[in-house]
Amino acid sequence: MKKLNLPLLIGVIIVVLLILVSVFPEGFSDIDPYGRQRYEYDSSSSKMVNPISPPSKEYPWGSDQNGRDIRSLIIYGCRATMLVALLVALGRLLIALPIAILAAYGNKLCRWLIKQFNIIFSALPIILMIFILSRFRFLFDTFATQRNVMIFLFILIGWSKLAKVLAAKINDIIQQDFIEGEIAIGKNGLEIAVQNILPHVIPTIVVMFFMEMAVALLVMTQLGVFGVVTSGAEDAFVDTSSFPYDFDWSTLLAGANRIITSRQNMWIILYPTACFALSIIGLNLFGEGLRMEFEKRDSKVISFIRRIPSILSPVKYIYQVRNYQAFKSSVLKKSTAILLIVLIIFFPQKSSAYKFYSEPAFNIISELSSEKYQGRPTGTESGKQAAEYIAEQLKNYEITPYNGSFIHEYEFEAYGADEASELLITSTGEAPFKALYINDYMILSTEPIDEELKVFVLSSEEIEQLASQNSSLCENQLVLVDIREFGENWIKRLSGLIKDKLKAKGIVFIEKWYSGKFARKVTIIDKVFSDGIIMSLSSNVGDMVLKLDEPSFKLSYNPESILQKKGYNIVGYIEGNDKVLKNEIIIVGSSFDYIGDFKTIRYPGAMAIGGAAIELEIARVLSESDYKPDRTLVFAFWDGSNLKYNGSTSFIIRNFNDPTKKYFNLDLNDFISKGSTELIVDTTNISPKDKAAQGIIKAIKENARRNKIKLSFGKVKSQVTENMNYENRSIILFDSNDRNRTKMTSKDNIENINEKLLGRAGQLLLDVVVHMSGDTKE
Amino acid sequence: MSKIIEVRDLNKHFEVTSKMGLKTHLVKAVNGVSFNVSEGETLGLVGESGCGKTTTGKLILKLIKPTSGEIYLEGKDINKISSKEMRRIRKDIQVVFQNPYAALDPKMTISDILSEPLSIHKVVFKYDYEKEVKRLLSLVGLSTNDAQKFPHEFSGGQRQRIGIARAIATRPKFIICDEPVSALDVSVQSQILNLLNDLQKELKISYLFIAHGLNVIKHMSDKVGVMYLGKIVEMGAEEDIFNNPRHPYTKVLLASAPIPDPQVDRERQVIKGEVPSPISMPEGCTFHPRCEYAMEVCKKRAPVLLSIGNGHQVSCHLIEEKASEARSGAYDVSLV
Amino acid sequence: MKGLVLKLLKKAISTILILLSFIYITVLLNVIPPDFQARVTGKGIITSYPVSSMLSDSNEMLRLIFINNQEVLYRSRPLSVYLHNLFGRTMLILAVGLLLSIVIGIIKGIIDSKRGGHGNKSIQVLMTVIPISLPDVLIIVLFQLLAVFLSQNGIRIFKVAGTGTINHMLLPAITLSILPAFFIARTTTLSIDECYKQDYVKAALGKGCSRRRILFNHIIRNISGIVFESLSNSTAMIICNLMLVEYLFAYPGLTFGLMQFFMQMWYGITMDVNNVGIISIALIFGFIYFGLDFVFSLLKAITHREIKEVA
Repeated sequence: MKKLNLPLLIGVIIVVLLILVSVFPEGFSDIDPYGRQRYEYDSSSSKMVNPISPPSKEYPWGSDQNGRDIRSLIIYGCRATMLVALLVALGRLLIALPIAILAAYGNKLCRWLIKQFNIIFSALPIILMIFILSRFRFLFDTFATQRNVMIFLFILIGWSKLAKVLAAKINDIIQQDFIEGEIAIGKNGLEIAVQNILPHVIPTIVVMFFMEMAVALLVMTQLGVFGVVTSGAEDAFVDTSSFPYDFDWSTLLAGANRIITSRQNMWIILYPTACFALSIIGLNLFGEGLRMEFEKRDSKVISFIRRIPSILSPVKYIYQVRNYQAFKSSVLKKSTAILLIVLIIFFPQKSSAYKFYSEPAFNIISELSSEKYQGRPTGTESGKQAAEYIAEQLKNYEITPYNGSFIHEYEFEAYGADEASELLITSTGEAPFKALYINDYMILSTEPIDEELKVFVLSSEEIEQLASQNSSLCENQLVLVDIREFGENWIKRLSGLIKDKLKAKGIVFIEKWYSGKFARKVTIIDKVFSDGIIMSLSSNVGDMVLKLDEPSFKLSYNPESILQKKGYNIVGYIEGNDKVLKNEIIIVGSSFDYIGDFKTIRYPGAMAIGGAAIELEIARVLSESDYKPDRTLVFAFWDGSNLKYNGSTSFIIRNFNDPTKKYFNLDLNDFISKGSTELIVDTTNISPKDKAAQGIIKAIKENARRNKIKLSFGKVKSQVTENMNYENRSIILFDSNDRNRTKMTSKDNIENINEKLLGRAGQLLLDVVVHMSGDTKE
Repeated sequence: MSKIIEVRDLNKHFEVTSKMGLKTHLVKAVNGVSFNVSEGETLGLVGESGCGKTTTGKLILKLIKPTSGEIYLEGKDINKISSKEMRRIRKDIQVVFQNPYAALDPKMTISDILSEPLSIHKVVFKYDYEKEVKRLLSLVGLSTNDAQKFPHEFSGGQRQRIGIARAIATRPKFIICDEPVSALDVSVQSQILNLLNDLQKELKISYLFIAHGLNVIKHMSDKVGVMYLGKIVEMGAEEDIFNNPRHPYTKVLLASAPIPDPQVDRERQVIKGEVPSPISMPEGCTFHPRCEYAMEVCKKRAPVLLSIGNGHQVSCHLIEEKASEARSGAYDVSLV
Repeated sequence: MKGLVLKLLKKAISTILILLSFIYITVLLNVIPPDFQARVTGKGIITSYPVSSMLSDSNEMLRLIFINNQEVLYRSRPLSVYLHNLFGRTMLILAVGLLLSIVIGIIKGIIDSKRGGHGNKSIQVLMTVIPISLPDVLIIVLFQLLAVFLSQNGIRIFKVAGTGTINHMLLPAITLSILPAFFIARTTTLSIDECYKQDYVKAALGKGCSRRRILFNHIIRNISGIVFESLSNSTAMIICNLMLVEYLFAYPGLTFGLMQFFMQMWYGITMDVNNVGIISIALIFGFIYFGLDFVFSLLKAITHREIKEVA
């Protein structure tokens, strides 16, 4: 009886399972991993129910503190986890192998490298090392995501151990007798390395590869428990409340210590850990099984590997085809293989029922982002004109107006009118300069101001010096600093010195307003200067002031001025045809306004209107094709999305809040710039129990594959989700990513729009809407 | 007849450091060796273990570098040419190793092993390797079905045949046979030796045949060199060495070879002592502590190889004396 | 003789240098603020935090840690006292855990090995590989579940999150001992099998020695060296394990202190004591590592008799 290689068998089963789950997670789980339990309706009131539930029928492996289904989380997280392990093992191998070969051949530098790395990186446990190193944000700038940083660190720390093992093994091989024979027949060093040594080393390499994957997974568990996770998050440390959207299994372990110590809800940790254990065992067994297999003397594997280049060589293929008679079976086998590959790649796809045209959508964007509409800020005349334009389009498409009219007005209060502040900058030798509020400067304090103050333009060294001298030079005046290059800790230090030592009345800082770090720096300064004046100058004006000689500010600020404004929502619909299903309402929404309510900021906002353009085009296609949906399909265009009082919330609360009806919200944000590569979908507002909504998510994924659009799952900011009850509604939000950071800048104009991708995204959304609303024609 | 290989004053010294890193000794593995081999000829190198014959073979193959001396292959000094040219020359100089169990890459099939030299030196057209491999296998007496098997599936004798097949694959002019039959059964030994002889006649190859068994050497060689502690002590035609040995060491070697006939009377030449360590070699003639005929001069001065006619050379003070006597007189030069 | 002394001196100096640079680099790394950036521009290298202040901060740290460590107060007592207590508790479970692991490991190793008989190679591989593949976290979770189960049935030997009694120490120590035990078991098994292949053991068997006699006379002598070697290879793993066990069982040892200081730092409370605490604990861990490694190597050298081969 042939001895069964049990480790290999078990290992293969587990590895194959892992591969399947990684590649086709949808096949294993019906539930979207991001969906979480929010409210439960309980007779008259809705209340937040503690979503943690132990393993039950609905949640096979239980749910976590936020009501997410753990089984689904694990299944969807498998791919990212395995990818990290794979990349780490590969990276380590690619670095370790050449160095090991050189070291075995006697290269002193390589030997020294291996030795030193081994000493350094075994001193502190891996955990501590990564702990410390992961605190450096500049690594993020180089590597973009947390995951890449972690992979880089893993590879850096671990390659030398692998190299030591490989070098020893290669050395063993070199010492063997047959190597002399190979030299004698005339091979040079490289040939011997590749043709003789490598085949003997390959078994070791393959085995070590899988074992390195297992080791990487092990370290991920250890780090995950401490909260240092390999995810796509911005921060190295993750809490279960700030769940990153590109997650893997180590993320799931983040709250482990509290759970284990309190001995409650252990399933939250148990299942991810068990899956980790299973994968590690599987990989280790696979590696050991392979080793056992390779050590068998009759193994034809090496010979086969050696022949692979010859098998795949196209030259040989042609030669064999020409001498067909002599190589019949070979040619037949190869030709069949080629045919199969071609078929799989070019397999034709099913086409959509309704076609979305990108040109009309593009034209709408072009129109609404033109000078005429001046950026469509809410509460202005041009905003009203944009609303009227949209209503006109809906009328032309013969969509039914809601409650008799397309345009629905509402009123709101706006702060910060541009009359609120005035600033005059004077200096010796230059004419006084009237700066524009919001355009050139911003005020971030809450107290009214009306005085003239001297401005001391100081560098960091000067501040330190004055502080150490306890100088009263700047007392009760303004200090101006350029903080564009400074890190947060430095800013904190300087602000503290300016307030406590220099006793200034306020701080004026120059920073790039639309940089991602602005908000954080403002928060820091705000904490320190909570009862002083905080002002910020734009980069342009700031650079100008830096050159002035003894400047002073004549500043007035009245934070109380309030204005009454009007906003306009546009709503139309297509009635559902099915008697029961027409009470399920699908609301496709987008906003058409842009940054505004200030006379001075007028950006075209092309991407911002992209959502509305797509929505209009969808409405047109469906209406003109005489589309008869099962469910009621509502097209809504919201105003005021950039303000505190937004159109969508008030309208939805008043009109779409019937407890007997069910609502699905599809909300479209900004589409699509030349710097966009993927569509972002936010499904965190879907309950795992909502089977219909889970089906919609599946449809989105399928249609994305068909239309060749890349999806990523993340958090999309939308006013629609605020102040909402969730008992009878599901909300899915769409956005596009913006690599070139053109959102909220003047660069967001029509030239910035990617028409082709717009078309594909539009087709995707059209297909999804059709799927959701159900077509009674079919 | 042209000389294929010529070796002049070859030296190979190894440095050995003792444990504490304080002392280094010099091991003179090969100590002033010179010889040549002509086309179609077999030179047999014989001596006890550790006398330096294998090292000499490796030096000629350039597997190790000599400390001094020259090795000429068809007139070219192999230590002065580039490695690229050396690789080309390797086509003409091949080797059959001693240990059939270690000389072949255990993870390569026979077909791979034999195709390698064909491909490196482009002996035949790329797609005709299979044919050539089969031809080589039949030349050495193996079945053509064996091409896809692995070395461990063969017996020692068969593996040695494969080694020989690999050696002749490049159609070399010169093959170094380093104790090719020492690890084989006696019955198999003669098969292999006959095979080597047949191949030599058919393919006109020269051999450097290294062995420590005298009967094997006698069977194979045209010329014989006797080595002791890194030096050639006697060199000559096969008949001269075996019928008329002159060096005391040669005589001892011959005398200690067993003759299966109990009727034959032989002189008992008892050899004293053991082979000294190559690290601490005796002064003067390296054989003198074990030599029956040792004289005073032997302890002080090392003898040189002197010719005593007909290509027969001996390195011994006895011969020097006799030679000088012979030159001055007409004595019959023979030992008691 | 001189050469020998010179060599030893060189080794000692290089070790000390490594230690010193290790200390300095650890301190420096901790002092660098997390949002440190360095960019190369036309005017040279611009950093988001002045390098000179970083260096002076790190020197200040060194001073606080090594020279004036009475100055740093934690809950109005010197930090060093606090650290001393933490250290003691950590070493306690470490020592107990290691001892347990050696005992358990050797026993399992002996059981797993073929002991001269024939076993199925596949099964043996399974039995040794699977245990060492288990992640520490899983073992901790399982033990905690066991503790819960036991306490639900009235057996309260395991207590968590505190200190003072043996019960508190028991669970962490036992959990700590498991993984190293598996590693020791694996190498023990391999070396026992290797031993049995040796000719002198076969000779003993041939002479009729009983299995037990062979075990004690031949085998055990050879494996003590192996045990310490495998321990020294897995020192890093042992310390990782230690950190995890302390953290997850809320055992008030060094890791506990580390995380406490760290969390304070993360939430922006930059008091000196936090920094000093983190660095000190990191250094202590480093010294524990070096110390363990040294001890294991020493023990290995003592118990492992080299078989000198005649060249």
